[in-house]
Amino acid sequence: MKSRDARDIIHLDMDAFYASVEALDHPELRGKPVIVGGSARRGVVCAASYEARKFGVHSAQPMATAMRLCPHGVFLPVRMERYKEASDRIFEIFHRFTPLVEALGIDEAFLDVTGSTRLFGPPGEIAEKIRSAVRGETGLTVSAGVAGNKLVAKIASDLHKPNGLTVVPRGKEKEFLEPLPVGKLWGVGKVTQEALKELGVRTIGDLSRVPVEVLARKFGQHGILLHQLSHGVDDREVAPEREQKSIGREDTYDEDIVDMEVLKRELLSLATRVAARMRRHGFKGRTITLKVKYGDFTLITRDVTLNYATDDGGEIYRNALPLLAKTEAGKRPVRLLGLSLSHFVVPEEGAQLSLFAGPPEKKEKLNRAVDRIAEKFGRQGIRPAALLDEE
Amino acid sequence: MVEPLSAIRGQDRAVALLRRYLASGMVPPGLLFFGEEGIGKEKAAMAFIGALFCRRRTADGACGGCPECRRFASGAHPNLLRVSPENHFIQIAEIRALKEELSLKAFSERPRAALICPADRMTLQAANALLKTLEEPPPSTHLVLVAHRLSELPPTIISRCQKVPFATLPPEEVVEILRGIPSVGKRYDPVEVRAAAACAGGSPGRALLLLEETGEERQAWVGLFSRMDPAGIAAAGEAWKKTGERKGQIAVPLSLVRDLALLSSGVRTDIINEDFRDMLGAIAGRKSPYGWAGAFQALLSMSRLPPQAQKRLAMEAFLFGVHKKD
Amino acid sequence: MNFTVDREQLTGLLARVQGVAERRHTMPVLSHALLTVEKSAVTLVASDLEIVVRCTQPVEAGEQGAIAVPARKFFDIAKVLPRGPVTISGRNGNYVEISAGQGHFKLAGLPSGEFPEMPEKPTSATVAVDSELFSRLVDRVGPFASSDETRYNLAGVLLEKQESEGKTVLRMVATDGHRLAFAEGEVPELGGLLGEKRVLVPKKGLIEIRKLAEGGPGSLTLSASEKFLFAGKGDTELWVRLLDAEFPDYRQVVPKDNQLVARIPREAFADSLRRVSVMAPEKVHSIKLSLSEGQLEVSTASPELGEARDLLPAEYAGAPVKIGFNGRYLQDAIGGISEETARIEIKDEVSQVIIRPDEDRSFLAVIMPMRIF
Repeated sequence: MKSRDARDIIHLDMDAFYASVEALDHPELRGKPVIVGGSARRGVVCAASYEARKFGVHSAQPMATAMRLCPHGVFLPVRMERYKEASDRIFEIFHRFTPLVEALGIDEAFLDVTGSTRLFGPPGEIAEKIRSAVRGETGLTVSAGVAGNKLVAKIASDLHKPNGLTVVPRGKEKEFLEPLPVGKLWGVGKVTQEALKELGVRTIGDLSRVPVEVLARKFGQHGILLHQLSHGVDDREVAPEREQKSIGREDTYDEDIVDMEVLKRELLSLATRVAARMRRHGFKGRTITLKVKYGDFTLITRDVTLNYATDDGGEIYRNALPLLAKTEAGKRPVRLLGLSLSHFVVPEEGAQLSLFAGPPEKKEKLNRAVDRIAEKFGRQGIRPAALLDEE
Repeated sequence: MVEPLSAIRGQDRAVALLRRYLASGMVPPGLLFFGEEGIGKEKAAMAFIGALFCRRRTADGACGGCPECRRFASGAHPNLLRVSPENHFIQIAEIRALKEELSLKAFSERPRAALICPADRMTLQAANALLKTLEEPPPSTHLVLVAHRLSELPPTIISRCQKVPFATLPPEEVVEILRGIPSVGKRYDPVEVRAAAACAGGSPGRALLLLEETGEERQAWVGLFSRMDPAGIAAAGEAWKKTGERKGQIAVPLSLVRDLALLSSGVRTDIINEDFRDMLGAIAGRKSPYGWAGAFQALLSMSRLPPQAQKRLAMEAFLFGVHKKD
Repeated sequence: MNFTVDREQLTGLLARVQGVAERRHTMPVLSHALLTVEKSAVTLVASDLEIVVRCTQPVEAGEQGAIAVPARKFFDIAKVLPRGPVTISGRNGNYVEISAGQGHFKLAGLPSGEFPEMPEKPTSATVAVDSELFSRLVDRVGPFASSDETRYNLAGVLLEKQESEGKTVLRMVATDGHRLAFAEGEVPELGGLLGEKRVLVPKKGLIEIRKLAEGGPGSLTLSASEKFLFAGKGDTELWVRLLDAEFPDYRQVVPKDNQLVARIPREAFADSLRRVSVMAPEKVHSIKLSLSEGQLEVSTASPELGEARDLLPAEYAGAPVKIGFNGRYLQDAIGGISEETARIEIKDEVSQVIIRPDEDRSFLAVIMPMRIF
C-alpha cells in the first residue's frame, strides 16, 4: 500500500534560553559569559551563554565548579517567572504556524507543519519565518531542525547551534544520520553507548548496519527500536499537550489507617474531588496515579493508563482500586493517600462534545449536574452514598 | 505465474495445514507464516492467496489458467493488497493506507487478501495500528503476515494470528531444490551447489545468494591458503576491507577452513569442497597458529559480528595470524 | 483492432478518464485506460480501484479488440494530433498505432486481461434522479462527513429511502461524530437504487458523481449492487465502491423534545457568524450564542486576539441561554438552509441542538455544543 501522509516536522530549540533572556534584559551582559543557576554553595548551573560554554561551563554542573572554570563570569539567579513569560511569547509565535505544537519544557518544541505548507510555504521556509519572527519580536534566537520526523528534526536542530537552521530533505534522513555519533540518537544513553562500543558501533551509520537480530538479542524490544531509529525511521506523532501536567489531591491522616474499607472510602473521596477539579478546569486525563505513604514514611506510586480520557469520579475510583490492591495497604499502616490524573487530552478536543457518546462520556451530563449542585450547596450537598458517613 | 501448493518444497507441515484450510473452507482471517529467510514463506503465501482467488481451485491450489489466476499472475489482482517496506520499514502510514482500503467493500467478488511482508519490519506504531484489523477483519478478508523473526514481532500481533510454521531444510533437500532451478544447473558445478547448500543454514534462498557469490572466490581462497605469501595475504586483507562485507562473503573461507579443520583432525567424510580435497589435504597437513579447528572457531565467531571496520580489521588480523607461525 | 474517430471526440473521451487513471501508482496497469472496440462503439475504462469510469463513443469500427493503453501518454498524443479523423489500430497486448494526417504514433500497451475486471452493471433496474437535486443534496450534507481518515465509517454519506404520504424520498445523511445533517428530496421511485437497503458511499466517490451530475443537461441514472453505486449520465458511467462499515444509528441522536426554540433571519445570522468568526480562536473556532428575549448575541473571545460581538433580532421567548459551538459547524448548518428563516432548537448547553429551516423539512442539522469556560 502506498502511504500518502508524509509529514513535515520542525524542532525548535531556544539558544541558551535563560542566559539569553538575561542578556536581553541586561544589554551590558551581551557577549559576556553569563551563567544562570542556584547558590554558589549547593546550586547547579541551569543555563550558560555560549561565551561561558567556551570555558567548559555547562548546565547541571555544580555552581562552584562553574565559578572555578569561569571566574570572570556573570553569575545570576534563576528568574523562572521572567523566562516563563518569554516562553509564552515564543510559543504564541509557534502557534501562529500550526496548532500542532508539542512543548518539551519551556524552551523547546516540536511543530507538525504538514498542513501549513500551503499557507506558509515549504517547511524550511516556515522554519525561517518562525526564526525571524522570534528574533524580531523577542530579540532571542532559536535554532531549528526540519525533517520528516521528530527524531531527525531534533538531531538536526542541534547541528548548527546557536542560531542555526538545518533542513534534512525527505529520503535523506539516513544519509544525514550516517556519520553522527550514536549518542545523538533518542534513547541512547551512556550505558547503551558503552554496550554498542563493544560491538564496534560508534556512528549511527555503524548501528544501522548491525543486524537487527543482534540488537534484539542484546537489548530486547529496545534493540528493535534502536535499529529503527538508526535508519532514520520514527513514527511518533507530534502530540500537543497542555502545559499543566497533572491534577491531584492528597490527604495526610491524623492517625495511620490499616483498615482496607476505610482506605477505600478515602480513595473514593479523593477520586470525587480530583474529578470535580478536572471538570472545573475542563480537562480529562488518561493516566491515574496513586500515591501511598506508609507509616514509616516510605512512599510508593502506582499508575494505570486508560485507553480513553476521563473526568468521572466513579471511573477514577474504579481504576484506582486495583492500584491500591497492588500496594501493601491493608497490611501496613498508611499515613497518606494521593490520587492524581495526568496525560490530559487536548482541552480543545475535550471541549467539543460528541454526538455518539461512548461509555466514558455518558455520565458527562450527570457530572455537570452534580457540579452545579456542588456550586450551590458546597461539596457536601451531593456525593457518593459510600461517603455519607464520612463525618 | 501462480504456483500450485506442491511447488512449495520441503514444507510438508505448513503445506498440509494450508491445504486443510482450503479444503475446509475455514480460512483464518489472520495467518502468520514464520521461519528462516529464504525457505519459501512468501512463495507459499502467494500460492495460498492465489488459491483463494482462483475460480477453479483444485486440491493442489490455484489452477493457473482462469481469469483470476491470470490477473493474479500479472500482479494486478484488485483484491490482493501488498504491504512491503517503503523505506526499509513498514510504517504506520502504510498500515493506515491498508486500513482505508479495507474499509471499502472488496473490488471483486473473490475473497480479499492483504500480504504483509516482511511483517517483522513493521514499526511498533504500525503493528499497533494493525491490531484492531487483525481482531476484526472485514468479511472474507484474510491478512497474511510473513515474518522471518518472530522475536521481532510484538506478542500482541502473534497472539492474534494462526501460526503457519516453516522449517529449515536438510542440506540434501536444499541441494535438490537448487538443482531444480534451471539457471543453477547450467552455471554451477554440483560441488559448488553442495558447498553453498552446506553453508546456507537450511535456507535455499540463502544458498542461492551464496552460490552467486562463491563461484570464483573459492579458487582464490584455496590459492591463498596454500601459498600463504605475505603479499597475497596483504592484498586479500585490503580487498576485504574495500568491499566491506557483502552478504555471505565470509561463507567461502568459512567452508574451506571448516574442511581444513576436519581434514587436519583426521576426519575424511563430509567434506564440502570435495573438488579441492587434494589441495586441502595438503594444506591441512601443515601447521597453523590456532590449529585449523581454532581457525574455524575464530572465523565462525567473526562471521557473527556485525559488518563494520572492526570486523574488516579482524579479518586482516586473522589472515596474518594464519600466516605468521606457519 | 481498428477504428476511426474524430480527434475532438477522442480527446473528449480521454479527458474524462485520464484523471482517474493517474491516481494510483501501485499497479502499473492502473495508469492505463482499457480501450475496447466493439461493433459500433469504442469504450475507454479507467480505474483507481475506488472509482471506475467508462466512456462510450459510437464509431465505425473496422475490427474489434481490446488493449490497455497508457492513459496520460495517449491523451498527450491525442491533443497534438491535427484536427480531423484519427485512425487507431493495434494488437492485443502489444501496441496501438495512431494515425492522423501525416502524423503517426506507435504506443506500447498491456494485454487487456491484466486490467481489473469491470464491475458488473447492477442487475436491478436503474432509477432516474434529477441532476440538480442530487448535487444539492451532496452540497448540503457533504461538509458534515468526516475527513478524518481513521474514522472510516464516518467518511461516507448514507443514502436512504424514505417514504411519507405516498411519496418516495431520497435522503442523504452524513456525520463526523460531532454533528450530523440529512437532506432529502422527492424522486419518482428508488426501487432499483435502494429498495430496502441503505448504501454508504465514500465522500470522495460521491463528489465524483456530483461532478458527473453537473456536466450537461439530463438526469442521473443510479443503481446499486452489493459492492458498487452505479451512476450514468450521457456517454459516461461511474462505479463507486461502497464503504463496508456500520453507520451509526443517527435517528437516535436527533432530539425530539428540545424546548427552547428560536427563529432567526437566516442571512443576517450567516453574516453575523462570518463577522464574528474573524476573531474566533484559530484552532477551535469557538463561538458563543446567547439567546435572550427577542435577540441573539453572537460572540467570541480568544485570549491572544481579543473579542467580537454581534447582535441580531430573534424570535425567542424562552429563558436566557448561553451555548458554545464550533463556528464552522454553525456556518455549515446555516449553509444548508435556503429558506429566509432558520430555526434553532435547544435543550441545554451540553445536549444536541437542531438547526433547520423554519418550514421546510427537507434539511436538518444536529450539532453538539462545545464547552466554553
